[in-house]
Amino acid sequence: MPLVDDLRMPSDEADVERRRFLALLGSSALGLAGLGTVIAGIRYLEPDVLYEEDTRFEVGRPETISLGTVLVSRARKVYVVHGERGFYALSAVCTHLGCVTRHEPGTDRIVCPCHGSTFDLGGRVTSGPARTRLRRLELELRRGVLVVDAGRLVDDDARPLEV
Amino acid sequence: MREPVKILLRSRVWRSFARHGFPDSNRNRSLAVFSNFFLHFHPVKVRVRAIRFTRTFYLGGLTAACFFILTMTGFFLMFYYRPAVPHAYSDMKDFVYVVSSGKFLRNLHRWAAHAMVALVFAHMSWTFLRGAYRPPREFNWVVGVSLLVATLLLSYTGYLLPWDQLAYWAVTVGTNMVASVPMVGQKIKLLLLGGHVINDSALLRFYVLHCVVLPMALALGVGLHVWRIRKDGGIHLPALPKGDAPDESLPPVLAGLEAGHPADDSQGAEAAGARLGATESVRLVLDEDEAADVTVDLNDEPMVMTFPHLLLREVVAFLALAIVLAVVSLIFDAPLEAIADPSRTPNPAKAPWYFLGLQELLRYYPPVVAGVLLPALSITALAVIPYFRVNVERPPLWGAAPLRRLALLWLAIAAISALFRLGASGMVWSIVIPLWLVGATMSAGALPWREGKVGPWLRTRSLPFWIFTWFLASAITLTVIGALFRGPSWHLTVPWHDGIY
Amino acid sequence: MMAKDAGRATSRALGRLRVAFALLSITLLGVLAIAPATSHFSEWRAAQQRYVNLAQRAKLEPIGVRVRQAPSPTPDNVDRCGSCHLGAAGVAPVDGDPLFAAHPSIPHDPARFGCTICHGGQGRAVTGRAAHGGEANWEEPLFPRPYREAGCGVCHSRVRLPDPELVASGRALFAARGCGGCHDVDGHDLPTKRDLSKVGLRGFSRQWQDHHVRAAGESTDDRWAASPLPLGDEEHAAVDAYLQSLVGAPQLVAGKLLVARLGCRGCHRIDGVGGDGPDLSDIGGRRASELDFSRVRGEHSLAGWLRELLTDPSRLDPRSRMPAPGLAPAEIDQVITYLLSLRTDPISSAFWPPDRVRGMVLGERDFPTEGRPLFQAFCSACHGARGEGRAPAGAVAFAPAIGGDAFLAIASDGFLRETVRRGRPEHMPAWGASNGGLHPEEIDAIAAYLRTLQHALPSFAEVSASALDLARGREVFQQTCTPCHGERGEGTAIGPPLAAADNPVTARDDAIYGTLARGVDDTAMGSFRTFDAPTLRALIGAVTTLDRNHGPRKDWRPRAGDPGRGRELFGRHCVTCHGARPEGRKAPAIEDPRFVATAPDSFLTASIVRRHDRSREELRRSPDEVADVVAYLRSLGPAPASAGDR
Repeated sequence: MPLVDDLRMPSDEADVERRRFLALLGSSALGLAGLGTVIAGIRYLEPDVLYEEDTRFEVGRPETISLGTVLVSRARKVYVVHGERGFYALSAVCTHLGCVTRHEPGTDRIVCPCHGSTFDLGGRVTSGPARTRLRRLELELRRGVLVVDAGRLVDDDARPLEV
Repeated sequence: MREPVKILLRSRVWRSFARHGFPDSNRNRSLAVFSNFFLHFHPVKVRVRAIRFTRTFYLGGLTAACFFILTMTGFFLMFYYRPAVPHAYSDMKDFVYVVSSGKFLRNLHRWAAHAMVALVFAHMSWTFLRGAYRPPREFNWVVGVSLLVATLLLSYTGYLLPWDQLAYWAVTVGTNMVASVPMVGQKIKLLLLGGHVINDSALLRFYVLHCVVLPMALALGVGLHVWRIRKDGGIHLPALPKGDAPDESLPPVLAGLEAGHPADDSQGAEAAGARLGATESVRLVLDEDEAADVTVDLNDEPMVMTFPHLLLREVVAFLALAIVLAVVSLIFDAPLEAIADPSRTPNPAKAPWYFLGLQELLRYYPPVVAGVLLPALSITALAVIPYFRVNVERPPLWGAAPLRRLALLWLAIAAISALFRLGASGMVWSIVIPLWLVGATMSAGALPWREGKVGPWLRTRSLPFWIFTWFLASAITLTVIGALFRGPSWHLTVPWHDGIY
Repeated sequence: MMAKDAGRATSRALGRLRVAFALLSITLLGVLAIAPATSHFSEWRAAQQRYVNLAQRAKLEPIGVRVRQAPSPTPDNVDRCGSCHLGAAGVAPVDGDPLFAAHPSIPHDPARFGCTICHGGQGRAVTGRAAHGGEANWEEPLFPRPYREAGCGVCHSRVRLPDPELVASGRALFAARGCGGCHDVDGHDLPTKRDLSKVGLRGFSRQWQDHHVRAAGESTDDRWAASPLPLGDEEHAAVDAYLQSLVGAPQLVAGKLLVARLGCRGCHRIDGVGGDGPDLSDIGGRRASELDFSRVRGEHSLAGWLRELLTDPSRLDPRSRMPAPGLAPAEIDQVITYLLSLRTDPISSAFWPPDRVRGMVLGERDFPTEGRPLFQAFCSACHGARGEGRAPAGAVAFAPAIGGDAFLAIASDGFLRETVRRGRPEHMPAWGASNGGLHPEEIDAIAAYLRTLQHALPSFAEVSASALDLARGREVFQQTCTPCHGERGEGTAIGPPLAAADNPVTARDDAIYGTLARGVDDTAMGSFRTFDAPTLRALIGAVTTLDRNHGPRKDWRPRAGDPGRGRELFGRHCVTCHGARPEGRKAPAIEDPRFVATAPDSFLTASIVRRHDRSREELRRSPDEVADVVAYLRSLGPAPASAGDR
């Protein structure tokens, strides 16, 4: 079958330059488009709204919580402790891999059922594979009531709330 | 009986979509294979040695068969399963109780998934042990490793869909491992979950990944993988013995080359591969009697027609697998725990069995190391195995100066043991002891074997082989410990005493 | 290898393969057929086939054989029990199989409510074992027979029950007067009796007595002659209370009333109201897999665990502070029925009964809010049924007697309210809105009830009419008044001079009477109501005849004591009973800033002088010493904001 097209490179340098330029332009544009698609795609997958619960909740009045009490909110995964220096809130989520820890009542131990990490009431790791302390959560006194915001973290060394 | 069929096969209707007649001649048999859309990835003829059961144990084909079963059962399951939070679990219950054959389909899907993971590991290991990853098949090996990763990801994404306690907490652990990757980890977790907590968005995303994205990727990968088998010259076979020195380490491609060609002449290898792919037979015995449809190739290799020899073997293997899986699905129910409860972590919360080794490792190392670094390194190490040409050029491990090499070996073992001992205590059982065992077996190869099969075989194994074996032994030990010897709070338990958790 | 040899080998292999293909294909066919077959030949289909056969014989309409599904208020939202339990699914009942018998008459249609909301179990399952809760992943088995009514309480969680004592007397009256002759209260649906078994839910006219009287008058039927009426007002109220407790679930009601009578909510919180002990709002939802059955003697289920707990709490946990309730086995069953009904599972609001809406949406109480039942429900477990106090053996803390004059005479109403609202450290929970959950008016009612426990003073007229015995009066004065007011009523560090010329109270009989009856606000002068009329007459006479030339009343102020000396005194005399260390178990541990913050000086003073056993010499201190001890205690912490009124 006879070949009817002519795919030889042109003899004129300018033509070659033109072809090369057009090719480069086209491929760059496509490349950018591709890159842009990837970036826009990632942006597409990032959620713009979250169907998740509000993370703030009330704990109670501080004068009703005696010294040494550890309040446990299982649904919110938060411990509220009335310690020597005041009130503070700890996240009950183990810092190893995210399982929900349990406080052993009557003791000072918080244990994670997944890999056996143990923490003390200050959130510090006493044994197990966890490497960092349980996170401190924001605890405020609003109109005489203690309010925890489980979505806001606070420095590990922040002062407990004195009431 | 044949007459009506033959008449049918000569009709216009038939001839409009099939270009071959009844496969009672080699010509029709050839046409039945290469003009068939579904079958044409097979060669028209195959080497007899290549289709023997004990050559590959059909592991690759069985894995693909599992994938097929999974896709089919998956299609059916999709008609009733809703990926939304209260419905997912209820729909699982409906499968078990009211949907006709629902329990069976669901069980089959689950057991086929486990079978696929087990088979893909077995296929990979056997391919490695056969040396079938060596040039020109390096790229196919890499494709295979990515298929392994895709299989594991498919299994992982599917794990969440029942929305029970097992599913929820396995995914919690997994996504937290991903989040521990520095810089991009949190972002990846956000994209995977569609939020900060595991709820509807996460379920939907995992569903899409599990039912659309990953299966398509896997299907493409399988297509590429199978196509490459053809292009690389078919199943890797050890060269037929020529003279005194059995050189099983050379790919058949090179067996056909004249002596003098350098072994690592990639161009030569390519050309030879192309030659092999192009002409597979020299003499064709034109005999209607099936018993004589054996041909011989360039390398003096007996061959048979794909239709029916290979195809029948494939069908029989598929049937056997299907029967085994179906019987298992009829007898054993796939597990379903209580509905997912985000505030109550079960004790212990275990990952699926193929990730238990990883979870055991997580006991000793921070998530970044055990959950991300080590798996990533392992996958990378696996993928690059074919590019290390150690065993192509050099003589077997225990050739000259075995004592010196023995000393080196045990020095290395001591150093690695000390390193792991310095790490966490539990590593002794799962890493160091397999290391010693493998080292001892390795050293047995250094003994002056002469006769028998075992001795020489041990002697001639290469270093990557032993490293791979050690890796495999450690992985198995870690998995066994994680599965049988770990109980609540991940404490050590004695299974015959405390039961299995 | 020779081609011919290879050829023969491959042919043989091919032959074997063809055989294998045939055999395996057939096997696969067989195996695959099993799955739809097992789906088809199911338990429920067999049951429905049996029904069809029985119905045919009984000449009834045949039914379509299919899974029967009813909606359910539970989160699982469908119940398929009707696939086997056809009688309950509204299919015409036949004899021959208990599955096909009609459901006993109940107020709710199973076709609308499903079954699991009342019975428990797994609604989505269609095999008997799984549906009845036998699966490992479904931890809500059927409510066992004795506790069936727990299912009623899961939805009807806020049925308001009246005062348990009133209900008990109403029930006794109902039986004694023979009302059961015409009225059925057990839900037996008898044609001859008027059914009152659910009248508490349906509501009834409070004028039922008038209707009875009118009906009796208009009827010629002999039976009306035996009508037990009329009833007095109190009796009427008791019978009304009893009627209100008839809601069609006698076990559940008995259990709830028992819990109110025993005062369990003094420690346990239910639905946000109660003490600081374990919250019972979801105790019915506890999973058996999370309980420790090593010390449980009965069956290893939630009911069995609760039974062990109610029999002997310390057996399950030696550190438990819960006293053994001392219940009979039948009563334990009733309490378990009630406890099993306490669940926080969400129930679709389309199914909410009126009591639940009133309780959960409108915030109405499901317990009576009069003082006495409130006291019984929340305070009696620690303080005793009549406030007599409790000091049980073991680790349970001491709870003071608050129902007697010794306490009530010196405790003002404000003090009572504040104590209830804020609690006492360590042992008494705070009952205010943010902790114990009681409303201010309910706390007021409790304080008012306590006030009624105080002795009633004879009227002034009665006192004035009594004969005067001055010698007796002086004797009483010596015993009662001198510890604060001095030997001759001249005034001391803690009590003003009675014998001052400008003391307006001591000049007139009725003023003295008033002070003795009510005490004086914001001072240590409490009321003195234990005297009878002649004694009061004598005492008033003694006071009025005191020598009136001791310092002016208006210049008198209580003298602040010396905390240092007070501390010494406290250590010597008070710490053995009142100290914060274990000795504090015999009496409230008052050496504590948190206690001191609840008690004004006046209460402390009055307590020291009046609340001890008067016969023990070493506890009688001079007014100066009393002032010192009070000063010491005050030094531990600030006084409460308001001293409170009487």
